[in-house]
Amino acid sequence: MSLFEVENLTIVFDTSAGPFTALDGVSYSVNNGEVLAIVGESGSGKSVAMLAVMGLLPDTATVTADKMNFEGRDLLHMTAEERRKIIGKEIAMIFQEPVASLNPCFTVGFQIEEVLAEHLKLDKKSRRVRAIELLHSVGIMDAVDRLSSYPHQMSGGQCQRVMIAIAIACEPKVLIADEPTTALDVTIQKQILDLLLQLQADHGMGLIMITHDMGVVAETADRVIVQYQGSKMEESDVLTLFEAPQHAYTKALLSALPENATGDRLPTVGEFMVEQQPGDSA
Amino acid sequence: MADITLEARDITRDYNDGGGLFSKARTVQALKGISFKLERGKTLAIVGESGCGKSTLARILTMIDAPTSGEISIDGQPIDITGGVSKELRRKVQIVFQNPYGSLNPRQKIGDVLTEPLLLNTDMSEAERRNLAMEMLQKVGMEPVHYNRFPHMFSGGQRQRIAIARALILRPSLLILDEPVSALDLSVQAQILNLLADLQDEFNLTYVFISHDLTVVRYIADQVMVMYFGEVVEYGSREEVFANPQHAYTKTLFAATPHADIASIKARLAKKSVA
Amino acid sequence: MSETIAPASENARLKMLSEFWHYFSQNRGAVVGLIVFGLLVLIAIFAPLIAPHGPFEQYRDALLTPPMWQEGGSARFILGTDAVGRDILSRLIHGSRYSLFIGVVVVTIALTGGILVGLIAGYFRGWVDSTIMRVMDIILAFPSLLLALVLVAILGPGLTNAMIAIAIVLQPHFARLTRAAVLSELGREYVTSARVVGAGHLRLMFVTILPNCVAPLIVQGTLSFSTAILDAAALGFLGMGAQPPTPEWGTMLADAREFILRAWWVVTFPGIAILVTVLAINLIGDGMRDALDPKLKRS
Repeated sequence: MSLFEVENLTIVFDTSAGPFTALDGVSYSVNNGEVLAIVGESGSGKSVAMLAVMGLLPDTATVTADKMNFEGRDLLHMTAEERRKIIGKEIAMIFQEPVASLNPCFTVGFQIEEVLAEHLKLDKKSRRVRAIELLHSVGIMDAVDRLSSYPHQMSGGQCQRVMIAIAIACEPKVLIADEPTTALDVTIQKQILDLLLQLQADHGMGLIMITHDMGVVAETADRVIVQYQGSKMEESDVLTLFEAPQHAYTKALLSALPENATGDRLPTVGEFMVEQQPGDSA
Repeated sequence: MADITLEARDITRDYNDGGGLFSKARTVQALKGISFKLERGKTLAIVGESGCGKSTLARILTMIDAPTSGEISIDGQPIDITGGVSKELRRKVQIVFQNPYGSLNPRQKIGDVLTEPLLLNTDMSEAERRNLAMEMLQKVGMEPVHYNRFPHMFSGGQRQRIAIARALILRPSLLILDEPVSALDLSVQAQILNLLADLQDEFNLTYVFISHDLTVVRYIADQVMVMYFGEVVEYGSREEVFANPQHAYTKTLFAATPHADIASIKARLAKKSVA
Repeated sequence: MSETIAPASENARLKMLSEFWHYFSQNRGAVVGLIVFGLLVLIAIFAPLIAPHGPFEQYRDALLTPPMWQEGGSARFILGTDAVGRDILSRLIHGSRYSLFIGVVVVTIALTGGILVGLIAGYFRGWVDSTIMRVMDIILAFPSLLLALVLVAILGPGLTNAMIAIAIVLQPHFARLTRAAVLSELGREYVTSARVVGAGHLRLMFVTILPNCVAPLIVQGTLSFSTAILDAAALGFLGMGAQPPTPEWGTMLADAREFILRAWWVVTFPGIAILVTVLAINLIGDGMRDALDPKLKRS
């Protein structure tokens, strides 16, 4: 069964320069145990889509969709209270800047236990036990010490592990990872990606990986959606995407990868896309 | 004899944390003895992760900081910044930073960004400065109409182009690039790398290119230097380092870099379906 | 070539202004404040034309006349007269000139001094910074009105000296703000870039860094405007500011102390004038802070 079904999602922002369409009629679906990668550059709307699903967009955003279901339940028309019961428990999200995403005023232990108290209603002792368990499962071995550390005392990689621990605390069915490794060093990135895949395999979660890095896509995804300026350009399984890309933009992205460079010059998107967007082209 | 633009011998840099009321004074060794030679027109790529000292090295090479010990010479001329930096020396080395959103003064129009170096270092008249700035602006792929705009009206890629234009307007022989494309989208990255290659050919520039992205390094570097905790752990030509890495850290780096080729994908999917 | 360049510059400024107005106008209170303040400025400019009587003219036959709508009042003196027969409305209208004048002069002096001091402290750090900020701390440790009183007592009573005293007392706020902004901008890459390009200390301070520190200073300046008016009124009330017969609102209050019960209008209307002005300026200040704070940008 499809865990997650979004059809024709459109998001319009109300800005000082008029309405801005961040996402135009894109559809997503994720199944159990599947890794979906959403690839796009800045302005493609990839993060905005998932924020809309989580209900995290500001009031200036208008979200419309034909369907936005999680396990058959309608997310779009849910009340805020009903949604709060699902967010963090059955759908979880981790973000790009791990140190900034944690509350600097509270210890790591407090923040993990907060989720457990809110969603699972565990008592104090069970919360602590479970928090230590979670830190072990994300690879932080000195868990008892770490419980009383503050985010600024930990490295970026460790903070991201804590974020992941908080996200999987309630054994969610879907985990959304919004550029989780972009701010991390390459060796740490590998560890975090391996960890995510491991957890996904162990728990059978659906994993939605939002990224701009084709390398990350190649290393993690089962299915890929390519987005550009708010629209879906291509959707296919990962092997087909790399072997036989259909859309011009996907071809452009793949050939812009330095490792695919054949000559002295890297081909650019402009040389692939027949239609250029009006305005500034970087 | 090869034309050596940049030579560094045993550069060290220590930071003294004077200690406060509650802690002892500590010395942090950011650089522990860096040496390398770079020929004119070539690109040296410095690879490393955070904390390896590459930004400290960049600051020393751009003459913002002085090394604690060791020597640097540019175009054969030894550098000593304790007495201040002369204008001729300023003109030899310039820098392009990583963050396109922080490296341009938000309150300064693009035209002023480009003419400021000329104003401070040359005797050119205002008209001459403007002409040169306009020329440079177009050389990096921007339009004359951008001259009077402010930085926040431009995208990341465009700002990097402006930063490059500013760095090159004094016609330096050496350009330090501190992760110039790391914050840019892939398609924009390609454009900027092409631009840098073109400019290197046209002006016979020497690049020190700092990056953590091995795919980019493999594409643009002639020489590669890998740094780890303030030390050089690998140093050689691009072919040598990529074909035959010696140090364990270099090997770890290569292994950790995501591979976007079809063979790796097939292998991963095969492993997954077995498990 | 120059024809194509000039319009782009106008457009850039216009766009920034319209974006600023978009955010500012979302705060209804701020817009109301702006309108009220605008009216005040107009009243101050056209005071001699608007005021029905001269501010110093004494009508001996109409001492302590109540306002128009009360028993005993007349349409000749809409808001009534004070103890020596001067029309209150006319004095209030002329008094607006003094209040605006005080606000402008005080804020200008405090801003200039504060920015200079804060820039030097934030840029050079070390002992220069410590010394300057300790002096600022000492000034801030005194109750501001008390300090102003002491200064005026030394310099002698009068509006000019009152303004100088208030400016000195307000200056540390600007110094602190400027220093904080300079410290946060110093680490930015564009400052390093300017240094690499060869900018000297003076250029870095005034041309590169200062324009980027302006936003919090504008907000503080707006709020200090109202503080200045209040402090000048307080000093006037205590007899140390503007001297009678100057129609400054605070001085008017001082004259009227004894009439609080007998002739409430002599006290109330100057008080309302001060209240409305200060409220309007504070609302504008709030609106400006919301509009200029980049972190609050919603789109």
